[in-house]
Amino acid sequence: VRTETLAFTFDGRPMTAEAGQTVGAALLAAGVRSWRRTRGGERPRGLFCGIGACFDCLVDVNEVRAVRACLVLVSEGDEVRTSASVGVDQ
Amino acid sequence: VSTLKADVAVVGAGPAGMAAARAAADLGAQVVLIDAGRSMGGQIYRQPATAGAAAVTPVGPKMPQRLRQLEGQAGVRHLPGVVVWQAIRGAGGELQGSGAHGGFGGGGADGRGGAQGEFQLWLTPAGGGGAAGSDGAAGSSVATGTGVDGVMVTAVVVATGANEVVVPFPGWELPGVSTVGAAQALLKGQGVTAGRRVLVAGSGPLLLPAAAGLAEAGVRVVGVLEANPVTVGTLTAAARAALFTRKAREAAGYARIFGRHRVPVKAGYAVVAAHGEGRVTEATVSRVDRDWRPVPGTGRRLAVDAVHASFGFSPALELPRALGCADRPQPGRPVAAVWCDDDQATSVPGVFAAGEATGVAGADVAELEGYLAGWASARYVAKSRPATFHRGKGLRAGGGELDLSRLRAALTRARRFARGLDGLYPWRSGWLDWPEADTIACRCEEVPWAAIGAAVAAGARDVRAVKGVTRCGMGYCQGRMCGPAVQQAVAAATGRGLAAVGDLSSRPVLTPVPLGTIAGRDQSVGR
Repeated sequence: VRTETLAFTFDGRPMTAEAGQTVGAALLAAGVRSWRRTRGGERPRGLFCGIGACFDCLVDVNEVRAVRACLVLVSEGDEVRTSASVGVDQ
Repeated sequence: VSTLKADVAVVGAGPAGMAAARAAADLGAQVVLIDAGRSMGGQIYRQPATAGAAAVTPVGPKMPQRLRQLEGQAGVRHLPGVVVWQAIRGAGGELQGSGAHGGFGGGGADGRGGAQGEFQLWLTPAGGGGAAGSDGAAGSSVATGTGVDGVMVTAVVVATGANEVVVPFPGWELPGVSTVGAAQALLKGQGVTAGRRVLVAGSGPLLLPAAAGLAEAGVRVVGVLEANPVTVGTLTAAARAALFTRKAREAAGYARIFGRHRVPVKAGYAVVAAHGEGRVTEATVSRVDRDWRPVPGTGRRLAVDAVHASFGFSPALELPRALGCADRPQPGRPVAAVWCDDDQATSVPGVFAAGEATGVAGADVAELEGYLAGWASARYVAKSRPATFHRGKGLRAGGGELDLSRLRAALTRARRFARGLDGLYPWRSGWLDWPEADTIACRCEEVPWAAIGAAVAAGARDVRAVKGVTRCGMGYCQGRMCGPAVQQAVAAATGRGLAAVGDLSSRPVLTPVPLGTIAGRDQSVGR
């Protein structure tokens, strides 16, 4: 098990994660509870099932939209953004 | 990106899949072990992925040494961090030009000529985004590095486990409300908790290790609420009665932790609402009657910053249903399981199943079924390749020989205990009183609870029709979350039985994938 610390940003704010940590775990550890707005009611959502089944924790990472925060690991320098209006034409 | 040929694909690396891989490989089969996780163990034996998680006080069952020995076992190729998004029967020999290659190299490919590629499983990274083995998705973190985006095999062992069953209550979609399994995954895998004042509620044995783990991690657990009238003492007695002393010790250990941290553990209680602006800050808990109906006048609000709630498990049937395997109904519950014979063979030749997918019975049953399924799959493969089946060798488990009769006897005993445990946690319908008209029923499509009743009033008579009218189950999760609740709601609203109204049957694709993943597949494979 590695012990290094990784730097990433969430909506532009600097954050840190332990190596091996998922985006969702790193955000929860930093006190962030929500990182998606639903496309219907624009309601906040966060991590729900925690194991990749529910897709509630979708988040945008770098150029890729709507990945599951509970499964995707933080990489050094990742730009993580609140996932908004997934499935709606931009 | 290429297709890997092997004898047996084991899908899922929890206790069932690990045991199946081990048994099949011991018997000479070449096994590919496909799993969404990065480490073997599944949910129950989830391994710490960070230094923080490794420092967490372990609570609950630990992976047995005999399963740990699977790491690096000859004849098992582990593909971590990927999920099957498409499963195809037949199409053997259709992979010309697609880059198909044996994954074991050298002498490992001996005798493969006789085996036909009867099943294709197409893979995508577990996190979503991009093709398996590609490097472009979400930085490098989504890439699996396996370089494999499909397998072609003679036999499949379905060891896909189960999904947690959740039911809607007002506010359950608020950030901070999550499943009990989420608490486990965060703590055991990541060393993180979802809050500092936490309520654990629902039904089933999982509540206990999850709450005990949180308490040991320093979280203030404001309550452990079991909807059924089952106390830790009930569990200990049931385990003792079945001579499962290990399980009795386990339950007693949770009781000690709850006592030490002064955690209130209550039977016949439930969380019936969550409250907050943008995140949960309070929860309403209530006494519930035998059917889980709230007892009027017993509700009270607790300050919390996280709620973990779930109500047992539903076998994960996406893969076996895609392969055409018949279901086995689970009477009285809005879930189904894969039908198996005494050798773990499903209704489809060449497809075997083990563990929670065949009916939720816990890790002990899962592991024992896994050895049987692994043996049966190797025997099936050997029909086309008899020279390599190690007939005289027998199954090894825990370093020693494990013969089939002892295996079956152990399975019978473990199943008896599991049935007893299952009987303590019946599925009730009183939760139907918890949601309000505007409570979200389908989290993905944000369908309000009242829409289900309205659809039935307008003439919908089964789950399929209600799905078509309301969009319940049409979202990202494909009904994995709302399926059981919608099925029971439709049964109640129509006055028909759970079986009569059907379920949100899974259909392709097995997990959402980007269009690029589909477009990027070699055309000589797809038909």
